[in-house]
Amino acid sequence: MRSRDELAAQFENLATDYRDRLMGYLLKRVSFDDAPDLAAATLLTAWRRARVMPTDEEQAFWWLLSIARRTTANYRRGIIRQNALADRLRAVPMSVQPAVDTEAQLVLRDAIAKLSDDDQELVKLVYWDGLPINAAATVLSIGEATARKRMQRARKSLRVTLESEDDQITQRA
Amino acid sequence: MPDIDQLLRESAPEVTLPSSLGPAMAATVRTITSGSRKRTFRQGLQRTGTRFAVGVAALSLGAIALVSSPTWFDSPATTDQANNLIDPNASDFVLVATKLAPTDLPLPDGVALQDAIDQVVDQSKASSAPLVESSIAATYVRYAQCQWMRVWIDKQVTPDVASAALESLGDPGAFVAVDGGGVRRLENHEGTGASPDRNIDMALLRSLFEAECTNGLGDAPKADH
Repeated sequence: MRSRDELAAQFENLATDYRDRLMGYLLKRVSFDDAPDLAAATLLTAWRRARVMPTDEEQAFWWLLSIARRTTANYRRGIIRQNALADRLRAVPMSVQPAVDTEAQLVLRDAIAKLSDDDQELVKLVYWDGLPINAAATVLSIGEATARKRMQRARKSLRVTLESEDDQITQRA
Repeated sequence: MPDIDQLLRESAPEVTLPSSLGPAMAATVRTITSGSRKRTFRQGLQRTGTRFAVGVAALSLGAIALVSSPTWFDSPATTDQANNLIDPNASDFVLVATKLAPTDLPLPDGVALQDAIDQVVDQSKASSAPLVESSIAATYVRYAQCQWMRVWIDKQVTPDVASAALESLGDPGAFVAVDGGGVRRLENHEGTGASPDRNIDMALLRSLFEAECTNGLGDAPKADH
């Protein structure tokens, strides 16, 4: 069993090594103003549950993202609010630029929005956050086989939408 | 036809993080791992206006004990006063959730306030994220909304009765403000809620139910209550 000092050291290393990826995850999903609060709430929850933090650092990051995902879900239900812990993070000038609005991107964005919440998150974890499918499965608390199946289904659905739109553009031309 | 993998990668928003994030994150983490209890103590002291030396000494000893304890995060204390957060995994969380249960929450026949409390406790524990009071109150309202939608879909009540109850609770996408533990004020949450009326399309009602209530909030209460 790890001592409190060992846990604190590991936790601080995790937050240092993966801070950009954690903030990136949040900034791609919530408003710029709310990301610091969610980061603070995620870290607070993670520390409270630090005893179950995986010892492997990469797996610990996936674990941290799974907490960030649940924290973000609570945020969407209006549960998280500003807290003093986030003050320092709020003072950091971060910026987010949405993807360029090409016609294909607009169609793709609509098509992604039509996927189920879980499928959307799976697609984003893999393509936006660069996670391998087994890591995305861990973050979503599902099996790897299930994640692969869902990804296949999501890609098929997105492809059909894009092809259909492509056909319509061709016909209009 | 463009490459879908490439398109998906290009659909990601571009995030720019300055180097000042490093020290800010490190300071935040240090506060969490070592300093939060001290701040709680100071804030609690300011809040209560306690000025007696004996009290200060006693509280200081308590704060030091909490900080130095290797298992401080097992503490049953529910409220993190520094951040006004409630820990749903604290041993006294059920008491807190019960205290926050609105006694005037409109529920269909066969659904008791205790069912709502049980669900709110389960939901809160499942999320494991720290909560604030208004979020717990909002979950009570959401539970009531889901129960009314369930009995409407199952035709256990007439559309008139169900729609009137839902109207009194606000939009399905609404959250509640806490005022004395009761349901007092409802606000539309980012305009996403669809107002239920008695002529609502059942397919829409079902889809609302699927979206909002299949996480347990719409389950019929267990028979043992």
